[in-house]
Amino acid sequence: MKVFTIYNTAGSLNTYLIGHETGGDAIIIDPGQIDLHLLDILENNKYYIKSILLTHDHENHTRGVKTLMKIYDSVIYCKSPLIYDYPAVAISENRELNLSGFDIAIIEIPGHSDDSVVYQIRNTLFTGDVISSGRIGSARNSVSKKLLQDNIVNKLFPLDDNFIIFPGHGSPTTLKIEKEFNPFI
Amino acid sequence: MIVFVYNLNMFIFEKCKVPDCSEMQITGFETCFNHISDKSDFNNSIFGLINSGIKIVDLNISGMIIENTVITDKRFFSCNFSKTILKNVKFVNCYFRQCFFDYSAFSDCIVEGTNIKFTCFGGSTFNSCKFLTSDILHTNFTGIKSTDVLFSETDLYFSSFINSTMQDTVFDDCNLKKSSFYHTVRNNVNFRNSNPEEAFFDKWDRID
Repeated sequence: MKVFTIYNTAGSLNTYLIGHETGGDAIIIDPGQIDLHLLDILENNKYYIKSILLTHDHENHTRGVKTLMKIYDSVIYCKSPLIYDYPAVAISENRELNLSGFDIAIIEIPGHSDDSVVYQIRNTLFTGDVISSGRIGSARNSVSKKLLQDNIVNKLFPLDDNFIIFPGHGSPTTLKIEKEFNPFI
Repeated sequence: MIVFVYNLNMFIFEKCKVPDCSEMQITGFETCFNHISDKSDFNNSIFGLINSGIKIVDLNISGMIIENTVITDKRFFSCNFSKTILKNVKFVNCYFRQCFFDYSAFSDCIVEGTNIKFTCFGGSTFNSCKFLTSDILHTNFTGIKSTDVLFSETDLYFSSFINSTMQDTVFDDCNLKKSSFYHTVRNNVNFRNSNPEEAFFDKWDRID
């Protein structure tokens, strides 16, 4: 499993590209921006974007979908049925995915948005805007914030302390660090 | 756009084979560091490995004690140094990507001319340490405890110190843009010649 972390300065967003050592079908998570640099990485590593995973339907996380769909015959996975008029495969917590040889569990964590999910691949969590190191996602109101906090505590925190968190914004962290030091939970 | 490339084999964690131990296996062993019978032999093999090449990938030495050592011109990718104890260790012209030093204890250590990105020091303690002329971007210092620590001429762009406790800590001529000091306890902390106005203190950068 090879992971490329791409930091988009425009939205301070982390996009993740996941593939095998030898190239082939790959997965991209939250393509906020696609540029020639990223396309060079794809070409140089012989990757084909087969799957686009969105942690939620906010423009800064999805803007690159339009570009990718013009280049690749990709399948979009998210909670929303349509992304820029492209149909998406509806995902839910009860349905584990196997994409490009990777088992992917889906954990629904509404609060930041109604459609927010966390993707678990092996011992890693791709959390989008649900949780970052020392922070949690913004919420529309106090009810949404409480919902987000409760979901993090009830659904993420019971997982193994050693799980690595790859957030949509900021540096990587672990569940143990967030349990102990995140001041918003 | 900045790209970091990582091989995540390190994250296929295997638990220590000793019953009821929740720690992770270290490189080349089926147990954690605490359950190795011959620690000096392990230390020799690890330093042999580090000294044998420039690029070190997927090394897991969680819990190891490293003392009185200078590590120069090494490139570490996806290495796990969690819960290590580092005493009088100097890193010079090194390169760290996606490495984990969480819950480690650093004392009398120097990091100089070193490039660190997307790395985690969360929950660690730093006593009498110096970070000199280094780039430490997108790095996680959440929950650290620092005492008598100097960051000098160091770029800390987008690094997080949230919920940390700092005593006698100096940020001299450092770039603090988008760094976060929310919810920190700071006693005798100095930001001389730096740009704290571009860091987050009372509010945090919204996640949208």
